[in-house]
Amino acid sequence: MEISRLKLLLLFFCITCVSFSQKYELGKVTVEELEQTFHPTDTSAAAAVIFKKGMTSFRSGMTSDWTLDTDVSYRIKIYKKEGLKYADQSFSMYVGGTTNEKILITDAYTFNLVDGKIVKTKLKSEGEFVEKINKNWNVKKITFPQVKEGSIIEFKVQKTSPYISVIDDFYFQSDIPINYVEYIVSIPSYFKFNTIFTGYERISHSNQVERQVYSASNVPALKGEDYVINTDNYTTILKLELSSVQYPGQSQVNLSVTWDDIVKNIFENENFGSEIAKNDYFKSEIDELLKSTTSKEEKIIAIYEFVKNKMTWNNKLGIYTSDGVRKAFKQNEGNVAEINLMLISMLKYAGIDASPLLISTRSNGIAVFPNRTAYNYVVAAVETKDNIIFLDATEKNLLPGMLPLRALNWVGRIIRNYGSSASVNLLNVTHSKENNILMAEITEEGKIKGKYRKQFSDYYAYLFRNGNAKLSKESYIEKVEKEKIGFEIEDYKVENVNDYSKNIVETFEFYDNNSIEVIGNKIYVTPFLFLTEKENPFKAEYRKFPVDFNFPIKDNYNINIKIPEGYEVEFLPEPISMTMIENFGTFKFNISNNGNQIQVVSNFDINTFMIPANHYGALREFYEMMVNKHLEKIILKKKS
Amino acid sequence: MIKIKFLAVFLLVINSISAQVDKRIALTIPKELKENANSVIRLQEVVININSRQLYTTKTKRIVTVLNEYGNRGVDASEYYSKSERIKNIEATIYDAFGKEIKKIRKKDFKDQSIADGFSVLTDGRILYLDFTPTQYPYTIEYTSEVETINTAFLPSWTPIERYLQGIEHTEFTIFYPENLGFKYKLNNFDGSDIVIEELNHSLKFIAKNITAEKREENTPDMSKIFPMAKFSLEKFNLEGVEGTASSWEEFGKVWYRDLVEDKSEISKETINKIKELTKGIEDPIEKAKIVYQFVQSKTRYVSIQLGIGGWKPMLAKDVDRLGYGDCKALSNYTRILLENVGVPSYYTVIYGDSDKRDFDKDFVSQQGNHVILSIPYKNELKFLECTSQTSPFAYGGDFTDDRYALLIKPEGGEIVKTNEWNEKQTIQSTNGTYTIDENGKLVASFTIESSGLFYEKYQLKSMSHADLMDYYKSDFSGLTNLKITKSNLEDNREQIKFIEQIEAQVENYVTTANQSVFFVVNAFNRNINVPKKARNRKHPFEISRGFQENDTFEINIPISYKIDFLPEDVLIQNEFGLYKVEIKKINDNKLTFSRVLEIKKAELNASEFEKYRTFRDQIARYDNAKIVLTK
Repeated sequence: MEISRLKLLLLFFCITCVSFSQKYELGKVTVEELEQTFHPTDTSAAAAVIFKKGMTSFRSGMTSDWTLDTDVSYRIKIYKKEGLKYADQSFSMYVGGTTNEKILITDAYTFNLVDGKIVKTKLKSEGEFVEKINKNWNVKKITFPQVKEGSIIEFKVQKTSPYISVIDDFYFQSDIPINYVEYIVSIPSYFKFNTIFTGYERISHSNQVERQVYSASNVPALKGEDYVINTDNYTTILKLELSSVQYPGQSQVNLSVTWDDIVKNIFENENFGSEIAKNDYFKSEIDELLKSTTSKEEKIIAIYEFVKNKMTWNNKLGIYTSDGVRKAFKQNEGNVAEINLMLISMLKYAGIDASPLLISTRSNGIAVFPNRTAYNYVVAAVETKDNIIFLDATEKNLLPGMLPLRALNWVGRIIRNYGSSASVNLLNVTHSKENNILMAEITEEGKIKGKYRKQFSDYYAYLFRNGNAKLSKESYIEKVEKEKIGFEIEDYKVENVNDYSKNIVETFEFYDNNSIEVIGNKIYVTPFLFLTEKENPFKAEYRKFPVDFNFPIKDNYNINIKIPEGYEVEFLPEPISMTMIENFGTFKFNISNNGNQIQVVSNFDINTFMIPANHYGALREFYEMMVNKHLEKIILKKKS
Repeated sequence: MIKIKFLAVFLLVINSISAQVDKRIALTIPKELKENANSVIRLQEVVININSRQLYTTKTKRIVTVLNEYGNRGVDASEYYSKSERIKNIEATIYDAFGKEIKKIRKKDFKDQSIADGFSVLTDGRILYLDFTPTQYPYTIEYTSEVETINTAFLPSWTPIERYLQGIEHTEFTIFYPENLGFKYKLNNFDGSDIVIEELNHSLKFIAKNITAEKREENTPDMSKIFPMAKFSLEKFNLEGVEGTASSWEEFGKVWYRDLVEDKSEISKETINKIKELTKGIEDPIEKAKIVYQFVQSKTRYVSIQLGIGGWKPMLAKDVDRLGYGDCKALSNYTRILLENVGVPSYYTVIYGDSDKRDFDKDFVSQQGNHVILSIPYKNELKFLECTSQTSPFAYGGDFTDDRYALLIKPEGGEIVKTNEWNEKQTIQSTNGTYTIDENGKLVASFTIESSGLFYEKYQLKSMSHADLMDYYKSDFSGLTNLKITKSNLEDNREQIKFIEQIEAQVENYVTTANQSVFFVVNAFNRNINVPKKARNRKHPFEISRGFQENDTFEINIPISYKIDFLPEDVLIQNEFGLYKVEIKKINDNKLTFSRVLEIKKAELNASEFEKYRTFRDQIARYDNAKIVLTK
């Protein structure tokens, strides 16, 4: 009796929902849609999603295991030939477990307008393929028949998964416009999920009986911008994460509600906490190592250097060990967790209060909401009375206190003894410095030759060591010469590439034909010579996303130019000093002439990691003024 | 006497010891092999054994010392497999600098991956590859494998120099072949090398030693054109279960046609009637072919499918007709059959499709090519159709299939032909217009660019979004900071294969202000300022793979308040590489005319001529950057 009533109620719900959104039903393609030759609001769009409708629900099987069903229906309009690629679709499924994910494609048709009539062609099994990518992943691919400019394709992807705690991210935005998108999540009252939205588009939400309905209309295509580290951070996506389970008559099992819960959960995972507890495998080496150390600082450095030199990172991220610290130690190789949990464990063994610090890498996005997948990176942190030292042993090139750029992402979370946790600001980083000294002279033939010395620190040095320092000297010189037309390098030297504690120093002699013009009896010289900033990198008039700078910088220039015999200074550019709004950046330029010497002193600082989009105009203007100053010429005149 | 003898014996002993140096020890690499090298092949032995027309095996032993991170790609420890290729064994051992074993990797520990190229809809090809994170440099890897395949149509070729920046201590290659399959080989670029060749009954062996690492030089021809290469082939072979013969191109093509191209499937009556109706009353075969080509372009799309023999045999034409998609083979064959139905003969044509020109080796009958196009004979010439493009004009292949040898597969047999070349008389860009410099130093321009020949490839601009088009212009008109395109009108003349851009542009602060005077580059929109780098000791020849011509004329207006202080001199340079000519004429105090011609010819030249070419380009760069000075 009870059951049939429930059924009726469900049926009733279905009917209302059908009548409510009839135009978003598969199969109901209209002649008008097929006749449309371009997208009404984005005429350059090669294709558009007319609608995308998703529905996620839970099904309880005969046994007590739950299954997660996600159905997504699409209607896609192809406007241009470049849009034909949307007629080939692929979906990946995880097959590495005991029960696997399955994908079924249904209702897949191509619609065309032939002599004013709608003709539909079914996607048959011949257009459906499964490709094994590796032992964990398969990809289902579909290729629609009879697709040309103007066609509409429709299909429904039905995914069933035994992994009920992981609901796929739902994208409300794509690289083509979406006219209407809707996502219904119907979660049994036993489960509680956290919801996280990223992006800039407005999504409407209504809370209905046992289900949440999210929808949006006219979502524009996502366009990439320069100076953005991870575009996904700004795409409109809904992420859902299981936070608690409570079956009837049982008490609630919290999976993650607060950061403390999440941290506890992570800490109790056998590939985390108990890996830190192990210490038998390194005892003899560390005992030996500690013999020659006395102070706490010495111990930290000795252990950090030991792990850094011994271990090679296999480029894999994650907060959990994969093969375990013991095996990693033996093989001198491991993932982030293996290397840094081992480091924590050794520090603790030496009596130092080290803690794991959880981080979300830049490519993983920003951890704003308590959820278990928020973190994918872990380092060691040693807290002192008024300071905290980060230690990451994944790269030889890192120093105590320094995080690699991938991990410099706002805040991390430190797990102190026995599972309590706190948020830690990761961005308390000093400026990376670059010091340029140029001693140049203008020859009788009107060419520039000179000596250059550049000294750079912190992330500048880190990036150099990870990139250019790995090239052969010759290829590096070729690369530099190629970037600057009319430029030649001789006698190149670089110091301290392998001495990580010191700044890198590059020196060379150069010939520069590009910064000088001899026209008639005058010589025009660019004061910054080959270091001239020729272009404003911020060309777009508007900006939607914040501008990511990798790290704060402080660049100094000290340039001396000797003018040739028989010439005198006719004109020097005006000095300038300017500061960007909120002190995001400063630029100073000073020039003076003393006998046959011209001296230029200039500073350029960026004091932040990121400039919000609302200050983009100020940033653009700041760069514009700086570049213009860089481009102004010194004029020399032949003495009469 | 005795002493000397003793010494000699002693030396011999030393010698023989050093000859047996353990190749697994990185420290034993001769110094000269490490120069410019990221990795060194210590020892490589490849043995090919052709058992029968249906089977051959390849055994590889390879010891490589990797000197730094960039050398990892020189390890090459991977093998492909599919339904027709089987990996019998594969194994690797890693040693440290002193030859101590670090790790052993067995077959099951190799990573297994589909060769999903992100392009093919489906492929059954897979790869086993070594996934190893080096923990120190140098290290040495010893790799052995054995692979068995049924496709005797393809025998591997031997190229002792596999890559740049890799030294070679010892490499050898042996091929054993049965008597009756018509084994043959061809040696390219062996002159001047020290390769030892041992030819015996039913076997052939090559040995090369002590080759120092090569560096890539600018404008170098493809590696296959400058380094030694031995190619092998069988006259009687097997391809995915189909037997073929390759004693002559004629015979090879005949079998190919019969087994892989001929298609008796029936295309729907509807399609046949449609194309017959579309071509009704038209006599000229090319006019008919244009209609059919357009029909195919609007009806189909390109999709890549690489499955077993599908890699060689096109999908049936009736399926292409029904589904509206296919790969290059399927779309070419479908077009061929449609043309046949309207009485226009055409030929399936196998070619190497690549913007770096690559030829069919016409003197070596064997399975070659990676792409298929269609050829239509017309008045003693051939028109070549790219059937995978939905946008290309009729018979315009661009630079993907130009100027190279290809194989026509006719029912009566194969025939080697050469595709059309684009030269400097055809590939032309003409820019004509006016620009005005205003009192504030702003440039305002209005001009037309007409592109033909290979420059016509620009037709793709038409399908770009506005933002992408603006980005394109910003990078194309390089050096123009603050460029703003205020209008761009694009016209694609597919009939004449010409692309016309009408552009209106503004550049704020175009002139450089220096006190009372200003100066600016005369050639505002077409500066060719890329100069090849000075090569200290160039070793290899260089090539300019395609010729082209640029013509520019501009009328230039300057503000009344300024007078001309300095005008660059006129230039004319003419040499074997081409021609460069610039003339600037003063019409009156406020008006000038600028004309420029740049012509570069296709060329293959010796290393010694490179500096002369570089100087030529340097002069062009200099004059393209020449400035006018105005004073108030």
